[in-house]
Amino acid sequence: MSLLNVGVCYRRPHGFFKGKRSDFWGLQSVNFDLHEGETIGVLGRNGAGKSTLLRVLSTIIVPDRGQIEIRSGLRSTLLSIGVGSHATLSGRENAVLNGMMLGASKKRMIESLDRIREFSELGEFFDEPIYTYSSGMAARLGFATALEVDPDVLLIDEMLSVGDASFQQKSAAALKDRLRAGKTAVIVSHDVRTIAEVCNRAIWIENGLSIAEGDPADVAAQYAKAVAESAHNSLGL
Amino acid sequence: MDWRRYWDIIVYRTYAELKSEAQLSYMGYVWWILEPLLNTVLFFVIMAAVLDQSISGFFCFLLVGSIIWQWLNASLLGAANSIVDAGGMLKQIYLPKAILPLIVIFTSAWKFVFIFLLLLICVWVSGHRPTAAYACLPVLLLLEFVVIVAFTLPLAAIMPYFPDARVTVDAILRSGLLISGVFFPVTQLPASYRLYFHLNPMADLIEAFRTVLLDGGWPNWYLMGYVALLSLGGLAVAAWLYTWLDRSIVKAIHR
Repeated sequence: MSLLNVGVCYRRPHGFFKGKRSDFWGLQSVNFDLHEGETIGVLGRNGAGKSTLLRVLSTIIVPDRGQIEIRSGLRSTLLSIGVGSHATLSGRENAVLNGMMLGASKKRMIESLDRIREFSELGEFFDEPIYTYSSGMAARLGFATALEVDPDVLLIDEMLSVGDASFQQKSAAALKDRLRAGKTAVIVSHDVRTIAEVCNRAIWIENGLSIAEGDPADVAAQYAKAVAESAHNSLGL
Repeated sequence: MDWRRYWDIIVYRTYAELKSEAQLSYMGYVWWILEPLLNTVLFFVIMAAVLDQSISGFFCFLLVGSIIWQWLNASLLGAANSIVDAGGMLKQIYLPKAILPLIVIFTSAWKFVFIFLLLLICVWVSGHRPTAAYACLPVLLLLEFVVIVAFTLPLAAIMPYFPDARVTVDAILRSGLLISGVFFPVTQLPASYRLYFHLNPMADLIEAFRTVLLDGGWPNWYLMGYVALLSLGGLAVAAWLYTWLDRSIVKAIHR
């Protein structure tokens, strides 16, 4: 997968009588290549264009300029929790539905139900409707399901931490195992430690532009320095 | 391979919608039948009692029109905002957008099955026996389904771009109810208006259902051909719209 000068333009809503349309470029120009088996970290502050980049990578939107090349048939999916779930369905039914939403076939999801049940630690509740769940239980089910969907490229928005402390550790460990086992992935975060720890390469984007790329430790250090400086300035010190 | 998955999603979500509708109210499934029936009774009271509309067998006449109309009404109204409402989800994962209105369409189609059976029973009880013309009922039902899809899909697709349309859908549906002949037969119209009346596919369908169920006759096949052609045109527009907007519509949803 490769991105060349990719830009995405949002049109702000405007009325008939409110004058000229205003455009906003969520991404100006972002460049990078992603190779098989590689984990790339994308660093950036709030509003830098990280979420828009993930939408481009997961092919939800096509860029308005620049080029994106994706090997045909490649499936890249955002690791999202509980997407499209339905409160009156049981945990079991929701696992199948969520999994299909994320790109797995029904057959595959039915085969992985036992593992989902075990990983989510839901026990008897697995067959209860999810409106009876606590938010932690719903999140555990969502994570366990998302982990079973195995897209070609895994997109992660912040390292997910769900459930209580022990489940957080377990889920983070499971995800890191995936990445170490050579899963192709893009992780978006503003947490420099995570990026330095799990990625092979890092990119720093600011205002929709990619401004640094390279060794995760180096890029993370540059990014941390810039963030510290601007915090320093805004405090007037 | 993905088509199979998309179809499974539609089936699963339709099942979930039906289940949740039934569970989240005390009377559950009963509402599927009660709601259209109550609407019809309301129409009847207004038309028969207040306006003294005196066609013999007016209740059956009204019942057929009202139930055939309400199938379209429920699908359109329910599906209009289906894409806008799923904005949060569509920003996280890729789905062909047509799936969302189709879920609503299938949900109301399933509910319609029950109310249609009740309609048949009402018609029989009031003395209109089944005839050979019943053979064309599946064709008429399929035709109305296609009309519903052909109207609903384009509407749901343009909704994110014209939030104002939300206000107008209601008004358009209400005037649709008035001009589709739910309350009166075409023979009550002056001859010069009849051509315009027949341009409305719902008016043609309602008339066809009445011909079959109440008069035991066969529908006007020329008009049915026109309805089929028109809805195929609508489907073509829908296919074009959804291909064109598929990977950019999310940017127009501001929620």
